[in-house]
Amino acid sequence: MKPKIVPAILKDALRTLVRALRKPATVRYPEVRVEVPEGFRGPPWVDLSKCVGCGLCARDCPSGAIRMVGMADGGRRVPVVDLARCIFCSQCSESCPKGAIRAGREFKIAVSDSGDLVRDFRPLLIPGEHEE
Amino acid sequence: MRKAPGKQAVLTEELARAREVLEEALGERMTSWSPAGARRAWADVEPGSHIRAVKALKTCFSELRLAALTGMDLGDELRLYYHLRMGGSILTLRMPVDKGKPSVESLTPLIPGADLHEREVFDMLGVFFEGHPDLRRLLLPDDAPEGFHPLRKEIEARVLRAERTSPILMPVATEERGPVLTLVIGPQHPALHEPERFVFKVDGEVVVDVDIRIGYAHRGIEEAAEHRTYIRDLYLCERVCGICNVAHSLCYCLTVEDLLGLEVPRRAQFLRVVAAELNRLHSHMLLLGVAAEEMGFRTLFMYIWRDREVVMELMEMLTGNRVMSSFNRIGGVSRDVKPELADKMRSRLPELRRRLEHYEEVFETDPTILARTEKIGLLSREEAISLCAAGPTLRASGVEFDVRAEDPYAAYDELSSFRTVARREGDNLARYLARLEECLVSVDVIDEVLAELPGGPIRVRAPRRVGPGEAVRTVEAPRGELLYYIRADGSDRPARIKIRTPTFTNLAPLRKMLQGVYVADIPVTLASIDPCFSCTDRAVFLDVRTGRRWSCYLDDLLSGRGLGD
Repeated sequence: MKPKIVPAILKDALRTLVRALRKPATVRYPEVRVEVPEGFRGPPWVDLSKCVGCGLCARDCPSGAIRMVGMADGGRRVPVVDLARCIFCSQCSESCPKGAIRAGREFKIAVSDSGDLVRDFRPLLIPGEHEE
Repeated sequence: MRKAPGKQAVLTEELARAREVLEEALGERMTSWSPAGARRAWADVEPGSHIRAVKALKTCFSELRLAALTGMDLGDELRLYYHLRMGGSILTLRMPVDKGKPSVESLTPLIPGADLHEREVFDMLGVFFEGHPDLRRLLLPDDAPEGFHPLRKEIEARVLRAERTSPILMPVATEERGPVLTLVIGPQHPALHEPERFVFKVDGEVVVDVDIRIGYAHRGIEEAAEHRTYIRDLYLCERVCGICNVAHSLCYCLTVEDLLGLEVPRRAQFLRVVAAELNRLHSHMLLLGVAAEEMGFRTLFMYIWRDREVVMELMEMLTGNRVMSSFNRIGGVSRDVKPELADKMRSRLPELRRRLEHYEEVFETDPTILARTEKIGLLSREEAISLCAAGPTLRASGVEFDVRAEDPYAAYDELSSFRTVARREGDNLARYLARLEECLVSVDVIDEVLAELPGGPIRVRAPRRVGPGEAVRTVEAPRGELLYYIRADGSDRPARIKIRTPTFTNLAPLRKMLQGVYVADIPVTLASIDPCFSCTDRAVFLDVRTGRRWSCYLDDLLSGRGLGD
C-alpha cells in the first residue's frame, strides 16, 4: 500500500480535472424536454372501438386496476383503468384478444387528486364506430 | 424442461450415485425414488430418516449444500422437503411430519447453514426441530401468539391481518458481566432500503458474534401467491425484489413451464439471457457503488452510478422500463428485439466495458479500497460450503459453482463467451472483484447473444390451468442461486410456492464473516454479500457494566464521535 499512494492520487486528480471539463452527465429536467425510448411501457390506452367487453384484461390484471363498467346504451361492458393501482406491466394488452389495449408513451402522470387517475375511455368513443 | 415431453432423460452421475447411497443407507426407509428430467430427483423417505440420508450423502458429496427447506401443510399432515444441491443436480427428500406431534430432528448440527431455514419453517408451520441451537421466530414478531403459524391451513389470511402484535421491539437481553458489549443496529434506517436488526456482541472494537433478525419487511408473498392465478402471480413474484426482478420472473416462469412441459422457443431463450445479464449488471454496479460509499469513497459511488445509467437505458430500450422489466412471460418473453435495436444496444457496450475495466483497476489498486477490504470478512471454502453460501459469496471463497454453468437454463448452455468467475481469497475484496469480473462476462454475453439472435417466434401460448405436479428450479440471480418450488393441483392457482432468495441463505455465512472484524468494518462486510436489506446507520449502545444507554449514528461512531465519555 505504501509505495503508490502519491502517483495514484495524482493520477486520480488528473482524471477528475479532465472530467470536470466535459459536459455534465445530468439533464436540466424539466426545463429540457426528455423523450422516452420507443416501446416505452406507459399507461394502458384502450381503444373502445375494438373492445368486445370480454373482461379478460380485468381478470388478469395483477393489481386489480381494471374495472368493467356498462356503456351508456346498456350494451357491452368496457374497461376503466385506475392508474393509481396500475403497475404498468402491460399484461392487459397481452390478454386482450382484439388488440384493443396498448401501452401509452405518457410518463408525466402525477396529479394532486388520485381520482383524476381513473381513465374512462367511454367519452372518446364515437357512436357507431364499434365493429361487430 | 427443454426436451420434448415424454422423452426419458438420462440421470446425471450425481443423482445415479445419490440413489445408490440412499438405497444403501436407508434400505426400506426410502419408499420411492422418482427422477424428473435429468437434473432433478424426488425421494420419499420415512419420518426421521432424513438425518441418516443427509449424513450418507454428505460423505459422498463434499460440496453438498442445503438449497432450501420447504414446509407445507397438506391438510392432514405436514411435509418437509429438503432440497439438496449436489453439483448440477437437485435431490429433494420428501418427508411427512405428524401434525399432532410436529417434531423432527434438526439438520443444523450436520449442516450449519440449515439454521435459518429451519427457523423459517418453525415460524411459518410450527415444526419443532430437536437439537436446533436457537429455535426462535424469524419472520413474525417476537410476541406473535404461541402456536400461531400462518402457513398452517387452519389459519385464514383474514385472521392473519386481524392478529395484533406490539409495534415495539422486544428489548435485547444483555449479559450483565464481562467485557462483551451488546450493540444493537436497526431495524430502523433513515436513509437506505430495508429494515433488519443486528445484535452485535462486541469486545472492545472487535465483533465477537452477531444475531441477525429479519422479517420486518415480511409481506406474506408465499401465502398471497396461493390466492392468485398463475398469470397474476408472475407479477407478484417479480416484485419480491425490485433489483433482481428479472431473476425472479425468470425462475417463476421456468418452474411453471416445467410443470406444463412447455417448450420455450429458442429466440425467447436468448432474449431471456439478455434481460437477465442486464439485470445482473444493474445489480452489481449498484452494489459496487454502494460499497464505495460505505468505504467513504463517495466520488467512486457517483461515477459507478453514472455509468450504470447506460445499463438502465439499455434495459428501458429492451423491456420498456428502467427497472421493472415485465419481460418474462410463461412460455416466452413479452416483446421482440428488432435488428436495429439490437445494433443500437450493442453500440453502447464498448463504452460500458471500458468503464468496467477502469473500475476493476480501481478496485484492484486503490489504497483506500484495499485498506478497507483486503483480508477482512474472511470466509473459508469449507465454511462457505457448510454454511450454504450462494452466488458471488460462494465463488469468492473458491467454490466454482454457478447455476448458469452447472444447471443451465435459458440459452446459457449454448454460449461461448460465458465462463464461471471464481476467486480463492474469500475476503471482502474477493467478493467485490468477483462481481466486477462477472460484470465484464455479462457484457460479453450480451454482445454475443445480440449478435447471434436466432430467428423464430418469441412465445408459445400457455394454458391457464396447470396439471397436478411439483417442480423446483433455480437461476443464478445477481446475488446468488435463487430457488422456486411450485406445487400445482390442476387448478389455475398454485397450491404452494416456495421462494428461497439468495440473501436468505447468505445470512449464515455473513454471520461467520462478521466474527472478528472491527466495528468500523461492519458496513463494508455487510455490503460484500450484497444483502437485500440494509441496516447500518443508527446504533443503540448499552454499557453492560453500568447499564447506561445512549444512541448515536454509526457515521459518528466511525469517526470517533458519539461514543460518550
